[in-house]
Amino acid sequence: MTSYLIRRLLQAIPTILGVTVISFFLMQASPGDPVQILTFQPGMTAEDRDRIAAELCLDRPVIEQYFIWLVGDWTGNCPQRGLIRGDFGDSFFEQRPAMEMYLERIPATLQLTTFALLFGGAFGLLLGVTSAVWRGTWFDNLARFFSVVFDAIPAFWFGLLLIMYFSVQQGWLPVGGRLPLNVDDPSLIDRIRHLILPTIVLGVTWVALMARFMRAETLEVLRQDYVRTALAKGLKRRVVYFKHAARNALIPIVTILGPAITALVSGAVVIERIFSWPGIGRLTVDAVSSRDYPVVMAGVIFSAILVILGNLLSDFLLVLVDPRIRLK
Amino acid sequence: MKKRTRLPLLILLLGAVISLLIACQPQVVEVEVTREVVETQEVVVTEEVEVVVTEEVQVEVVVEATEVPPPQGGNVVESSFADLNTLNPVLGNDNASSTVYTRMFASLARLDPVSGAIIPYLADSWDVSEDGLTYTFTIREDAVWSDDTPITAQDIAFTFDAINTDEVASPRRSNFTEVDSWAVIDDKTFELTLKSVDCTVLANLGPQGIIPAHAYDGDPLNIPDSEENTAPSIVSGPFQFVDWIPDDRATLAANPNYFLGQPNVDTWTFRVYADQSAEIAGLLANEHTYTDPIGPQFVSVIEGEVAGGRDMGVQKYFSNGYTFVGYNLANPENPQNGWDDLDGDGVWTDGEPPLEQDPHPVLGQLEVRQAIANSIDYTGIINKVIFGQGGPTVANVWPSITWAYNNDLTPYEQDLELAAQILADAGWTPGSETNDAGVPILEKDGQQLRLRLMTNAGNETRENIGIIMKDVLDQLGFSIELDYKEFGTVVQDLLGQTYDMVIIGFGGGPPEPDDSSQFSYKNDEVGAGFNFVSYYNEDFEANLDAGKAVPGCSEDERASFYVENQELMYNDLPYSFFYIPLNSGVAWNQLSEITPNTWDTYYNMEQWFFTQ
Repeated sequence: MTSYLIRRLLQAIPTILGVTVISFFLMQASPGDPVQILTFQPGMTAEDRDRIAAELCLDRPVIEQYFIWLVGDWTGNCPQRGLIRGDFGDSFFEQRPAMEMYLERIPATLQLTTFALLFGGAFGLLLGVTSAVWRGTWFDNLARFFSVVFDAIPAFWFGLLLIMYFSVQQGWLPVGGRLPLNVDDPSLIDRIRHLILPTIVLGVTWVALMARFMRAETLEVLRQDYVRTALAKGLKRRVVYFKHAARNALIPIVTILGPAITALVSGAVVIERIFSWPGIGRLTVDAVSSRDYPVVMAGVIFSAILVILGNLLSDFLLVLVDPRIRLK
Repeated sequence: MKKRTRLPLLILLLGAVISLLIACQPQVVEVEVTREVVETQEVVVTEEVEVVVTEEVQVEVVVEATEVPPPQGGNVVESSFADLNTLNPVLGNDNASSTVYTRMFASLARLDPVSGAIIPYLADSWDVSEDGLTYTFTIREDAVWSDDTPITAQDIAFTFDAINTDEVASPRRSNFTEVDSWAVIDDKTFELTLKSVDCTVLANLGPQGIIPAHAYDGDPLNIPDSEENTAPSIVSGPFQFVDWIPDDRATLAANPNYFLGQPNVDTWTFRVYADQSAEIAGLLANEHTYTDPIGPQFVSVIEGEVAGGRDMGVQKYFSNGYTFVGYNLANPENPQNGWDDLDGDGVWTDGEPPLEQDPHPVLGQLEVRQAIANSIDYTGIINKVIFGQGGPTVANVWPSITWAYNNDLTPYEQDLELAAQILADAGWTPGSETNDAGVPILEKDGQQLRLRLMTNAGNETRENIGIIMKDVLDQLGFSIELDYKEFGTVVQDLLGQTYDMVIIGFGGGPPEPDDSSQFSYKNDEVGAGFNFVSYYNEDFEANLDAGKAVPGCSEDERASFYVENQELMYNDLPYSFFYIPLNSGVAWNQLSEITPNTWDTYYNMEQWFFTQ
């Protein structure tokens, strides 16, 4: 397993490099110039523009800029040490390391996506298995109806509805943010109150997706002989459905876990905006708008790593839930 | 007959007079008055019968006049939908950052909240030499940093050095164009020398936040990588740093060493929301105490809440900004700098004359601009697009600069017949092709009235103005292509001067009528300059130069230049001005002494307090 892990991680290096090449040149090819955005104020001159461009190494050819970003500035004129030395470059606008800006926001995004994943997984699983067991009943129909509705509902609209009711009208939950204001040591309850709405809005799509998958897989498993045998032997239905059937139904689900994590992090971009959640989603969107290249590239690498790790996680989980599978 | 002493009456009168005098004091002074019941016994002798008369007289005795301090404590939470980039005033360039670091770093001067005049702040006073070239600032004796170190002229010099150090990459450097040198005379005296008389220097450099030299070991090269940029440890303003969670909040606490006195409130939090809708939801959920300004589309909602009894108030004031459509007067196919680059260095240098540029094939003609100016539904835009939250304006100086504002100009109004007549008189006739409205596109000498109208996508106000303009202009025979794109691309086209018309706005301007950065040919610089419309008028240029260089910088003497310039601009039409925004600041009623205004809402921040 260790050699498999090392091999997969080594394979990831050229993948990430390829992603950086494509992203960097696509970004540079898109219209808009960070130096012009930086100097977009009265009184700025072409001299100021050129000076700032030189300080940021943006006066160099694009290929050279890429290699400066990758290996550092060999001329010593720009203060960049390069990605291979762990330096993602400084944000053009905040003038501090891009990776530092990501690292201080990643906990917020991971917290939100983890809770959304747990919420979606738990409810989706329960809903899917129950729907399959009670196939054709009003519960099954209702669950299927809502799983389609929640999959189709736009997150920004649903989020605003929840804010209007629970925060503005009732005042039960905060409008947004991760922590309460002016509280030195927020309690667990405070933290949870801030998590409830964004978790529901982000997780509800995952509930819908998971419920549909679980229903289909459970129905498939319920037709298997061993389930019939277990029931015939007099095992409790709850044990049969949730211990035997659900576990086997989970196997295909695990394969979508990796992409689901990536999708959740992507979805968090919208949710973080609605709920003013200080995560990487808002940072990335703002960086793209302002052409803050080092921050965008740090985001690209983070996303690439996330996709690779997500898929790796799927592979390992598959081994855990299905003993027949071996990693080679 | 009863005989009464006059003493009680006198005391009453005295009390009333003193009460009246105290009531007339401008400060919040509470007079402690004790109402005493004085029992007076009078002995009246009436024919050998002794009668004791007892009378109760109420006497107001003034004990003492005590200034009662306002309630202390509480947290002011101000909202924003933009996050800050830095907490260093040398590096800052955006409104959100400025709002926060200005609470921590005092400047030499600041703006009078009513008139916008430059008034002393860290500097107690300043003298200007007779030739108008040397400014000598005297720094307040009681001004200290939060670590008790005196604020000195060395700190001012360090700040100015830092801004002009290449490695620091300060966006503030362009404010020093006319500055020749600066020097520390002594600990509390700082001298600034100009290359030539520049009446805008105080407006440009006065509000610059001063940073502590000792926090950077006196070396500007330590600034770029300093933690002080995100967590300042030594400050001079009313508040000091507590924490900053990017995209979430910045929290500051009252600075007990602030030279104007420790603020009454404990903390001030700058709460960042993702957008305006979230910000308003937060306001309605009582999550923050103050928002300024709220978007025009939300004003009626908030006013409805206030009318319904919500405990908050709305204060309105005209912004120091405007929204306009700018006309590119030069050919977008051939963008050129506005001056004849005699020395070929690519930048304007003293003595280089204006260049007669290749004009825009359509907008280069004044009649076309006049037709557009007379076709715009200004009232409709104010009433329908910004819901009445704005006022008409005529030219480039906003009315809040009262001394330089031209009151004689009448705002343009929509007159479609006049607009059509102007075009017809100028020789524009219907062609064979039709526009989106099915109206024949006007032509003249083979040139069609085709124009692109650009603005930044996502800004609903500007997008809606564009739609209104297109609707009307298409009816007149123009063919308007709406060109809505992402802000970075708009900036590129705007500064690159490759557009036809742009809807954009400026805000937060200084209290200065000099806007040479926008309208002087010296700033008509492809890729950088703010005169992106390539405007040039010889008289206008002469007035800009003269208004800036008036010896003594008397407002009365300067005013005539700017008043005339507004008239020139009104007639030349490089811009058509839609409106000046009417900002609405919303604060809880419990937050007292806060007065949102055009120039400086925070001028008395140390006096803000919560009544409960």
